[in-house]
Amino acid sequence: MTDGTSGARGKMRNWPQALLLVIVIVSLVFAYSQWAAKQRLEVAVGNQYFRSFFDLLGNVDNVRVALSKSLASGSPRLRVGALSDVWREASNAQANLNNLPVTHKVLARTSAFLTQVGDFAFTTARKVANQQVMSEDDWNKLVDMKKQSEDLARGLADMQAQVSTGKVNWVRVAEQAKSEVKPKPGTSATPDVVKDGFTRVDEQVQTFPTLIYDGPFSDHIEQIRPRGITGAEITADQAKEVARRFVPFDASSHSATVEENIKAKGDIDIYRVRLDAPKRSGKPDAVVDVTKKGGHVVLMNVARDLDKKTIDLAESVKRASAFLSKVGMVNMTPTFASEVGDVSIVPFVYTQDGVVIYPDQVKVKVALDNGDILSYDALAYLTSHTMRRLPKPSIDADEARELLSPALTVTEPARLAVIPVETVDTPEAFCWEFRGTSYGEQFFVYINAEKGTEEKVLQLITTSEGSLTM
Amino acid sequence: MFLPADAKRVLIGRRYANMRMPNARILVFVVLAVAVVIGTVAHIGRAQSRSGDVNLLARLIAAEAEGEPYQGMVAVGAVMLNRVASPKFPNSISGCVFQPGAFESVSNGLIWRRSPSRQAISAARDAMNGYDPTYGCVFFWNPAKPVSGWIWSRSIAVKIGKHVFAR
Repeated sequence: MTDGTSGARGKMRNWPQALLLVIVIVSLVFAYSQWAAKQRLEVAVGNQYFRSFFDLLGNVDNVRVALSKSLASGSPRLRVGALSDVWREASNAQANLNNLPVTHKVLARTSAFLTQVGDFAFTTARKVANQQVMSEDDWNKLVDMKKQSEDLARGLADMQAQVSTGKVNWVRVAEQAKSEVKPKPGTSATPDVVKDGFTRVDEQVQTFPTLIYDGPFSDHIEQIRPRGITGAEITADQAKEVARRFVPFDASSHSATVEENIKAKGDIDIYRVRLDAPKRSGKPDAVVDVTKKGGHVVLMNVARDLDKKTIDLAESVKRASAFLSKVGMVNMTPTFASEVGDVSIVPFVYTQDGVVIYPDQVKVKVALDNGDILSYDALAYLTSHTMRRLPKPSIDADEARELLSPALTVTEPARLAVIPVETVDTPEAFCWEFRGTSYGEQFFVYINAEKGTEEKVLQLITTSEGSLTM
Repeated sequence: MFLPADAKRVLIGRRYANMRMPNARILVFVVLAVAVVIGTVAHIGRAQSRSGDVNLLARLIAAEAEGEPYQGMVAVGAVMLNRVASPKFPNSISGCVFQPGAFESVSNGLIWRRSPSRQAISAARDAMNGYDPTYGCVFFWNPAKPVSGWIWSRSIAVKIGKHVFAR
């Protein structure tokens, strides 16, 4: 009796300890399961990075081999094949390299090298297919690239010896790359195989000279000098006046502030004029970029909310045209206007003696609620516009038509056009433009009017948001 | 409903298949209905954009430049397109967005938690159409937040809102 009650009381007295024990056991089990799950995730993430790394090794090795093959093959047929391999492997290598959790600073040059090797190989392959021979300059560049890719492959192979011991913890590598962005005082980064390895590789690549060739990633793209920005320098106050006169509404009561020290590519100095509407005036604010040299408007953007659509695309093109003539842009022809949500984008190109000059482009954005002009972008126009001396076509439209694919049904009369191309010496080509259909799709085909070569094929893609060319 | 009882058990579990309570059935129905509605809305949202790129770009803009002036949103989109055009960065929008460590909002998942505002979508479209208030910049950061010293060695071209942009 006594024993029974004291035992029961003992049990009652012990319940907090028992509960504590249960809690401890449960949290230990929970902690272990969480730890195990985290471990599994880390391995899974790490394996993805391992895969990128080993893929990169293989890609760079293949780049090296394909470059040697392109030099060793005597026939254009095999050379084009080898160069295409370089292109494919280099772009895969670049993608795999950028998948690795290493800061951009460490990878930038290696990444640029791989992109340019691929791009150069592609451009050269096209040239070889066209002309059947390779210039001495291109030959020397390929030899240089072969050497460079051998160094790169060797650097990666050295890293691979350390990485494949399996001791590299990619999650830690990623955390270190991140902590470099946010430095914590007192913590020093531990030496790290991956980062040090890529830093060494990147330093080797650094010795590679600036690469200029006929491709979209060539270094000459960075060095383009604007041709259309002419005239005397203006002051900040003059820029305010230019902006006030330019905007499509009365801005005489707006307050204007100017931001200086803005530099566009090609060393263009820009005044950014902010026009702020007086409070409760119901007028929109605007930002207008004016060049210091000559006071040309490069960009304009009007900020306001949009109401229900009331005007159609054709009407918006009319409004955009009227705006361009108001601001003094003459000989501009609208091209592929498209409706995007509540606005329309209307690109215009310059026309000289009936020839469409595609590089000299201005884009106007029109609000579809009341037809107001929302933005204006003349950067392309100002970069490339100049009075061109257009040559006489050495082949006529009928001769050019003979060169078209038999699958293309021409739907409109041919016209002359200047289009942008990526070659270094002549960034533009003088062409016959054909519009036609092929297997139910619409195309633009450009035949060089001087050389009789097919320069470009563009497809017109009609989407729910308007037509665009690709 | 038209499945044999055994299959039903396998599909929804022994416990729920034997449920008799009408409330629980209503609950299951409501959950299913909500899922269908969410799925439809998500699908419409996808169909609106020209391609995945606009959507992804708008998400990044929403995560990185929320609360910035409109021009600052377009600027972040323009930086992404300048990166795609640069040989030093991946050659696609998705490659640039998901480059490890490139954006904090991608690393911590914020990009998926916040659906892009109308403004962010419009900014993404403007950037895709070539509007670039940064004139070719490939970096941007908030000078008020701690960033690596290296980034300051870049030449700053423009300041818009809280961000500075550099080449």
